[in-house]
Amino acid sequence: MLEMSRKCVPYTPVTGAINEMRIALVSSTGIYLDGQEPYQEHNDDTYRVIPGEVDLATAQIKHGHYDSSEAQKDINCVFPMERLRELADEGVIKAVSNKHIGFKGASTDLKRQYEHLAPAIAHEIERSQADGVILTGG
Amino acid sequence: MRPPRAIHPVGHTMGRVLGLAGDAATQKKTLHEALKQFEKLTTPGLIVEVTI
Repeated sequence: MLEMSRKCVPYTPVTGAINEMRIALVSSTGIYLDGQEPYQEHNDDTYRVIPGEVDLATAQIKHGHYDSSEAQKDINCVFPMERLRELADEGVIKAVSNKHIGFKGASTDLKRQYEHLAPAIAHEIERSQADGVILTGG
Repeated sequence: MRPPRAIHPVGHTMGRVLGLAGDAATQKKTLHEALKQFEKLTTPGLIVEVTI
């Protein structure tokens, strides 16, 4: 694993326009889908793959460290998949990526998140169609 | 470790970082502002305050 200083800002220059990019959402809001395992109460270092064609009616939130009542009514408050699709339809972005990621984020085991969860999510996104990622938190 | 590019939509709070439930217009504007930073923001680690 590539070691990076905590003072590092992992920055990749973007040379094209956003209307040439496929965009993925990566969200620490505790989003998962019907049929996927909900997150554990504490120190969950797993993630869920959210397909690009997801029906958001099947999306759930389990987090516990922020008020998710607005997100429970309209998940686009924290995971704006429908808005992303609209921007793709309007040509603002090229397309919605085939894969997106949800995870819980809140953890006291930061070392495990840094050494295991983050690289696993990065690897998943690298294997997707995404040219860029929008990260959202709760 | 800071994110490479970030926006802080003024007045948006945890649980509704893109906007209120049902407010599709604000959600889309917020998302679009975030996307614009791919083209605009060339200084790593900056957090841009935006008013939607």
